[in-house]
Amino acid sequence: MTPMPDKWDDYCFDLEGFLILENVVSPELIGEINEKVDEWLALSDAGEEWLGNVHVVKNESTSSHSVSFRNVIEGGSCFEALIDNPNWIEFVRRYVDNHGLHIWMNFLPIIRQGNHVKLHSGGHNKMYRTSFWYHNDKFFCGNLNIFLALNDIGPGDGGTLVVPGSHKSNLPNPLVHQKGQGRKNYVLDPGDMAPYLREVHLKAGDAVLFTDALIHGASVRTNEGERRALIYRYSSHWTRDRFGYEFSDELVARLTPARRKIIRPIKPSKPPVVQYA
Amino acid sequence: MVPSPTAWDDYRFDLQGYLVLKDVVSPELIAEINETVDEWVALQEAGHKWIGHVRCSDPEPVKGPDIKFANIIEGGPAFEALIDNPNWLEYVKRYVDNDGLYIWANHLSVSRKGSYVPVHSGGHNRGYRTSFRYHNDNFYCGNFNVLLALNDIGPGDGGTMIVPGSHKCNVVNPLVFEHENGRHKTAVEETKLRPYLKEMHLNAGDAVIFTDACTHGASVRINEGERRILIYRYTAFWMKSAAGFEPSEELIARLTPERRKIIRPIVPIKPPAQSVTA
Repeated sequence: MTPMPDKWDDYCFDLEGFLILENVVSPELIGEINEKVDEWLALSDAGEEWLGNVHVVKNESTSSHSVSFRNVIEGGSCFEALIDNPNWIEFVRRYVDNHGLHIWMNFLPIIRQGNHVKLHSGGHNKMYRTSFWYHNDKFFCGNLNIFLALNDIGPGDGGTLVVPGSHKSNLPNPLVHQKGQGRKNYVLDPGDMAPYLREVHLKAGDAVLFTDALIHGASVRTNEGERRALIYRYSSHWTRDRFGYEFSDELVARLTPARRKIIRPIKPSKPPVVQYA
Repeated sequence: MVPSPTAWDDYRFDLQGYLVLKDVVSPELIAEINETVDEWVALQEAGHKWIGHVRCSDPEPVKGPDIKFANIIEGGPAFEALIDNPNWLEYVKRYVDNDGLYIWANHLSVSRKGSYVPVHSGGHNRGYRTSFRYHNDNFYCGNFNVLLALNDIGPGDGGTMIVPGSHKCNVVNPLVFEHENGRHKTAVEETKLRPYLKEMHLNAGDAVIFTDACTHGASVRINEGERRILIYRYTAFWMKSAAGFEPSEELIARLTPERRKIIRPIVPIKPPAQSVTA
């Protein structure tokens, strides 16, 4: 049976802006994705920037991911299978927009020792990307993240940090959003923010679903090894790709109708090649 | 310097619906209040229902504090001093309504072993009492509680429990409001709500200030002894007493103008004793 959000899920998501969904992807599929990532990392280390339609973006700074593979939906059937993963799709429909979905951003970030992600976002910003509305028994999130753990993420692994409830903030967080040179990195030194931060620990195959209106980031990875995650960001069907990637005709052709509708919800409308003035 | 809410206080209050204020009442004043409470408890246990203008309640029929004293502002100068306590007043002004204040309920409760307060309230209810609004850099809370600890409240003492952020809930809490006895069950049992309930541990003289829109209650007291708290509930100046109390003329006469304005913000207008018939 396809898991559906119940009243308790609605309450918790409304209250805190995130939910943890356990065992949403099988160990076999996780294994398949990780094999693919091993190949990609080898190619990336060899200097490749494009792996077919998958784009490799490296980051020298420790205040972000070490490597990020973007447009991973083009990476093979294991990624396509997750577009409408039945273990989360009804949650996504409930919390994004029941008028139609689109994955407006998809990437696979790798975090290594020393990496972290600075705290950012917050409900004070009422733009569409960080929008969170509830009206007439419907939720509308401008950007809903599915963060899938590809390996276990525990203490010291660089887990996702969230500030529960911050999706509804009326005010900018004066610590996180203060202007100027004196701005502290509250991931490296949580200080007064510590009681308000929650680190999300997951097993491989678990996901955390959250509105991008939450203040979030990732703690410093102090352990050896890598944190591997896959992030699909769902939005309303009339949004465009965050970075400007266009899905290939080959991908679109082989997708099921249900997946195609999420990847290319609006079919391009172009004039014929031969035109008459 | 009078403590005033900072941008960080505003952010945290907006985020979670409450703040803990440390050392807002001196040990001397706390002791004075406790001496009065000792006397009141003895009188209540001797069967008195009223102590001057202070009303003693019987134990509540379901669950709640063992003894509750209402209208305590009439109880003497120690209680009057807290009406505009400078250590919390600017917070109250900031978060209630800058158009003027009123204390629409005030009481003091004594909880003993086995006592608890069912979990109740929540932002899903848009009634004025549970309203929480922010607009144009102003907050408006329809009911703002200052809960002052009169003795130390730690684990097992029956501390106040709050669901942080629940003042903004769009949907009703299904465990608290949709299940039979949910309000009681969530106070006394380990339910799915427990990870969301934060228990307030305070020292005597500390206060927790919170919008009544937060889902809240008090945990079961399992320790011997008593939890003693004082609650002043502030709202906008045009509200009236929740329990129907009217301040006595003696109280009004002896209050400072600032305190009088909070206790009786609108002076009653009455026709003279002898007037023509309408």
